[in-house]
Amino acid sequence: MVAPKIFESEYRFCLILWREEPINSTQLAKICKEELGWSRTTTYTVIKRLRDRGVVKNENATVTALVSKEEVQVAQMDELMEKTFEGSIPAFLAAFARRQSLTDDELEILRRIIEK
Amino acid sequence: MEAVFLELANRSFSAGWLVLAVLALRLLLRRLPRRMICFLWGLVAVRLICPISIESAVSLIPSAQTLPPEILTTSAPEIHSGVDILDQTVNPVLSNTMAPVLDTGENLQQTMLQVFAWMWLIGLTGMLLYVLVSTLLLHRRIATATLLAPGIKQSEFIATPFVLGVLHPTIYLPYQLDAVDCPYVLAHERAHIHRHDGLWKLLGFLLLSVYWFHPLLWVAYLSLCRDIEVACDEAVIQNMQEEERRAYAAALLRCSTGNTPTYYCPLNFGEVGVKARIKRVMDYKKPGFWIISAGGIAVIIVAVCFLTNPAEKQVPAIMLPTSESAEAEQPQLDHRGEAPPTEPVLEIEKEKTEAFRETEAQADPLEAAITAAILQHNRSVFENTAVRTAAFACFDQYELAMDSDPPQPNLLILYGEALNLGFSVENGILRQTEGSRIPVAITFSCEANGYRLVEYWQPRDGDDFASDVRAAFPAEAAELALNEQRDTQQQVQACYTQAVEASGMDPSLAIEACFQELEAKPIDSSNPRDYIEANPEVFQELTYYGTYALQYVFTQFEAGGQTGLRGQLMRCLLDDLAPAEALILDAETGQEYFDAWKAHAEKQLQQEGESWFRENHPAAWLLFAMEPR
Repeated sequence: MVAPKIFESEYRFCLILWREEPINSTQLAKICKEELGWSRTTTYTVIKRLRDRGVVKNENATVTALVSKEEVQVAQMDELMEKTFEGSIPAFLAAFARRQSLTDDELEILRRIIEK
Repeated sequence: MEAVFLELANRSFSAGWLVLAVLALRLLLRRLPRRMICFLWGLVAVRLICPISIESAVSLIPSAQTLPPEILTTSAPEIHSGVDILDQTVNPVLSNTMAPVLDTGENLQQTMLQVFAWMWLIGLTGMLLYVLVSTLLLHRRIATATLLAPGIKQSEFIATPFVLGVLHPTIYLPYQLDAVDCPYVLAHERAHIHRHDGLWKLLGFLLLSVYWFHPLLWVAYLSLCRDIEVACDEAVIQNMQEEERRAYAAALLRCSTGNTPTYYCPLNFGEVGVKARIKRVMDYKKPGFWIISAGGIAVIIVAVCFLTNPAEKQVPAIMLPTSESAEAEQPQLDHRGEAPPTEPVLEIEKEKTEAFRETEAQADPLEAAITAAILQHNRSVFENTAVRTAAFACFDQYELAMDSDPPQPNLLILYGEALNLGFSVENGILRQTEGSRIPVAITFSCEANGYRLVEYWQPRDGDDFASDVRAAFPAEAAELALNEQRDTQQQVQACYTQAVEASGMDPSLAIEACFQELEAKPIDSSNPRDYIEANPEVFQELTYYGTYALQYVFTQFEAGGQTGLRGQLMRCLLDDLAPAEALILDAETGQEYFDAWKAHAEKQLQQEGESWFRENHPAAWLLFAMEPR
């Protein structure tokens, strides 16, 4: 399944949700106020927007996520690959390796995972 | 509303001069700490807000009242911008385009001003709506900004960092901000918060909304926006070395956008004048003591010179006609609300003839102004008339002192009846051709070099006549005006005198002709009054010649031998023209009466002294003045 598009601010909201779900919407709003600085109205608006996009579910004032963290992370990775590296894995790897000094073993493991 | 608009327009013109001065200073003293220029922009705001103004001799503002309030009602609109060249170019255009229509309530200026005032209101509303809507939309966009630290939020929907909020300012950063740039950006935005720039910018925009019609104020506002950013830059970099400044400039560059800036509220980091700011950051040298002192002095000078208004020219106290230059209207003008006295016009006539023998310029300026106004108003009636005259009987008058700053000339409003008569000259004799009398209200502005006509009002014809007069005149004056039986002899006499002077004819010819006409019809009566009653118009004509008639009569009596009908008629004329001086004497002949009259007068003169005598025996005084003493 292709994960729906999520904005950066919504992503941070989802991080909270994944940590706390399932959670009552009022409580969720409270946490968002503390950690994100969002007003209650904003939180409910975001919940509604994400529900329309199929990212979260809101039943009986309980909010649960419909996509998992891994799925979203993968989707973001795909986007990054497409946009920044034009879909080229070697390019991505090269950049990655430049940033993190990897041992040869680690490089080998990586290669195998990707080629799988 | 028009008055408010006029006041605002005047204030904006004064402020405009200050803006020019600040812009000049900004250009000349570039190294000056920008916050001092921001202070000067604050002075502009003071100028625009503060209704009270102080006058001082050092004011450099050319004029505090470019649009005088009488521009609405006057027949000759003009601006007093204080800059002669400007006045000279604008005023002729104004008077040509604004040829007003007298008699109607409104003139072109008032209509135009109404239009302008409405346009201003619409513009003001438009700008306020713009800022309201834009702020609302912005708030919606950044509603989902996430908290980074107290007072700092991040959002993916913004392009450059900015500060939003006047009461609780919050810094908004884009998610993509480089960590390297963060400290500089935050320092800059914190400087904004520290200086309460959100408040000043909001105030500036509100003022701009009110005064949007003045282009210089837009320049001022845009400059203010830039100067605020530069001042914050300076606050951050003032103690930095070149390396750090370079980093700051880099941050500026990375955060700059090519978009058109938003002018109303958020204090953007990277939107306003970035190129200039980068250059300034790199070239920055901390200003030395001398520059700051020079700047401080310049600021004070600009403040004093442009926050104060110029002292207005003194308007001299109104000279109402004094007894020296007394003219026909003199007695009426001194009587407020009373009926004009039925004193003869003689004393005045005498003064007048003497005055006229000298120069016309001796004439009383107020009366001259009134006569000119009446003649001007009725010029269409008199197009083909040889001699035009006008006279005014004043029933009431009010002088209004205008309590305003700067002081304005007083207004003098005269309520009375205007008489205008046209004459033609036939065979050296004046004949009335046409004329009218009608109540009028004339308003003059009392200025240093004379009286300036502001308004000439007269009632409508027919059914509206009485109601118009009652509505416009004070109560007693209205009753006088509506009284058809009112004696107008004095006014007609004034007209005749003007006619005699203007036409250059010899009144004695006409007077002689009148007498002969009276004597011509033989009546079987020894009472001269019967002759008069047989030809009342002729006798009245004689009385209209006023002083001239008196002089004629005196001459004849002095010559002596007036024992016949002529003498009797002349006695009647004398008593008619000088009723206060008539003697109750049963004289057989006119000559006898006159001799007694003269002797009595001489005695009175010796007893009471000259000044009393002149007051109370004007006719006799005239007689004595005629004689070589």
